[in-house]
Amino acid sequence: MTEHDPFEARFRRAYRLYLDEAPTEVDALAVARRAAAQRRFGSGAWRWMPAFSAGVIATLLVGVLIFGVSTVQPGVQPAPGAVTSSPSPEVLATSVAPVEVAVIEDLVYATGSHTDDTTELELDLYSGARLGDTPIIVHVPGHNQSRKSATVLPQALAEHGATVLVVDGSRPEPEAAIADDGRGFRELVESVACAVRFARGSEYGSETAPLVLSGYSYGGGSAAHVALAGESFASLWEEYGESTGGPPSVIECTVGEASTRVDGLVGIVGTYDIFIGEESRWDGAYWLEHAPELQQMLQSTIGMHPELKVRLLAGDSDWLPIEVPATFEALATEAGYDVALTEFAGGHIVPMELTVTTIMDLVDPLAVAPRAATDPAPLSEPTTGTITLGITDLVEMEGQELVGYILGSDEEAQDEAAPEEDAATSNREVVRIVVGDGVVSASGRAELPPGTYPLWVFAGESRCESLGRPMCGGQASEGDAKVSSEPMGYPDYLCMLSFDLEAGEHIRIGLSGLPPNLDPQSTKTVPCWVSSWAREPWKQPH
Amino acid sequence: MGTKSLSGMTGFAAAESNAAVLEQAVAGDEVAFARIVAAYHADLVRVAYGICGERDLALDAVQAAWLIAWRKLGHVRQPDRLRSWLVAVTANEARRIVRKRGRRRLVELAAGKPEHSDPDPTDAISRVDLGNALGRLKPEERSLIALRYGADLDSTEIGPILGLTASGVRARLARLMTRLRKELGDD
Repeated sequence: MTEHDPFEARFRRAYRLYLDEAPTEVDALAVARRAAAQRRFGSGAWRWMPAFSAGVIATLLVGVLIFGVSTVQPGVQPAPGAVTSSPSPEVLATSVAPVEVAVIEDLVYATGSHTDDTTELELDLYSGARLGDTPIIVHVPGHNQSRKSATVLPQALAEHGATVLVVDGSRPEPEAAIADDGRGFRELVESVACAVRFARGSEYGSETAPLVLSGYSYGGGSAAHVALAGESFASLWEEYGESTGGPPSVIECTVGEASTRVDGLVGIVGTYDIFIGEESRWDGAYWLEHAPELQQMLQSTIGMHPELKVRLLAGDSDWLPIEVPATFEALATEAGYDVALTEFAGGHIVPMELTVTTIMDLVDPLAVAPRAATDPAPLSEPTTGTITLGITDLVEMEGQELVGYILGSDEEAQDEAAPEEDAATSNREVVRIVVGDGVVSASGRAELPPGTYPLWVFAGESRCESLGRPMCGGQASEGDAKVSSEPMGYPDYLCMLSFDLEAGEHIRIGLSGLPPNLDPQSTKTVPCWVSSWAREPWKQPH
Repeated sequence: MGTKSLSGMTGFAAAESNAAVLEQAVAGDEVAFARIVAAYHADLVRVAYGICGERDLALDAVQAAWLIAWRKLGHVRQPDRLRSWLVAVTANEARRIVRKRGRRRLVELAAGKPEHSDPDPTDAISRVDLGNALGRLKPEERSLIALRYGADLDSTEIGPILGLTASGVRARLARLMTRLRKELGDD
């Protein structure tokens, strides 16, 4: 084939005619709205759940009780045999406001194995509704555990706003892994490193987002090695292979150039014996005896990147002796890591609540950049910032308009943002209201000085069912979301949402105004107003 | 007040710079995003169709791609990379969907009246022959063809999408074209 290959020219021409058969017509606005609505809220209420602090969750739980939010209507008993969900209080604490989680299955992140170089390694991706550089968690299940049977943890983490990538659990037993110069082990950890690269460099991931690598049991051991080696992973194995005459690299990453940097490690009853050797009472001695050079190399990774944060979970009655994680913790502490070992009452099965909390507690400090120590601007003082909204665009739904107003913005901004408004609404700015399946949402942009601003959201004849914090560049600090039930003279409830903003940050304002058991048809008679910051918060839209 | 139309939406590049529209879309402006959809949707459907070989699958792939794009648009650092980024997302979704369908072969078409007329019939590759030849290709091979001849990406752009080096792309393309040349009776 050459540049002027006549066949190539003919082929190109024919191929383009063939592609012309593709159905290319599109209602672009509908596509955009569908994307926005699905990503933000899904198809029901309570679809927005960023990583709330325990205090905010508690507050929201109170709000849930106040507003009577429930997926089961009071007084309505489930039909016999119906599948219902009755979460325990522990589950509620982590899933009070489940978001819509998108799952993308079977993404190829690597190819190859030491037995078949055409093997494709796949992962599943779980993604919550949080925008921006979401925290990423790469999870390695236990020995021989398929990612398809390890869905509960990634689902729960994604509901908290993280993007979660789950690979299959490792296949080779420890004995097989270190046989033949450890080529099975290299294959195993290289595949985990490829998943990290995929999380960093693919279009589904981010080079800059905080990334936590978690692993269960045997997956915890391999995850620990990859996390400890961090960006040195490739060079480490290259040097090891050269110095010992093997094993060869057999895994080719789909995203080969991306970083293997890991910010946090969560080991869930992990098998850290591979780092411990003679100190271990478990079969770490096996490694030392059969693969001393490999064990030495693995142990040398402790201290390579001490900025890694390490959290370990261990059961007090686990068959894996507590001395294994305890020794690993001691070695990591000595090397300067921020490390914490949590011992729970139990065996090799870890409480989901504890796992989710441990991972999300580690993710949040990584995700939230340090904020400047600025006092919130008092609401009674003139606010010098402006609210600028996107294009005003009202949606008509079966003959009834849903209209949103921003109150209290300065006149200059109003003029710029809503030049088409008539005199009757000149003190308001219209925000876009998007009507989806049982979902009402609104969005706008604001540029405000740092401070805490109340966002009042209220719905006329409906109830304000749920609130989420705005997305401030994907970050938010603790305690900045509140729910109030003050009726404010309206026939329904009033919800208050306040949040911190850095100057120039863009915010997203969300309101999921319709309970799932509400007849969607009734939404056409529900006018909704969205009120952003206000010096006069009691000002009414009409 | 009723639903407003997106007047001038197709004039994406002319009306405003890609950078401005991209910035607005990243900030959550659905209308800006719609303008991006309007500008690139046809391109993406063509690429997806090239990979999937079926209209419905192609539309599924592009719809999934737009969902990802809405969420991940902030990752596009340079506006001039927007198109290739969207193509990459679409190609991945199309490949995923095809894999999920179990790599089924496309149905071979019997020779018949060509759907398209060509300026030079004696020189044309028939639609049926082309469709059958493409149907015999693996998804990865169809991806390569779609990205090169459908999306007009060069080997350095195709490489990262398919996990290949640029030289690997060129070598595979050359082998593919040699095969197609034989199958389409050019030898």
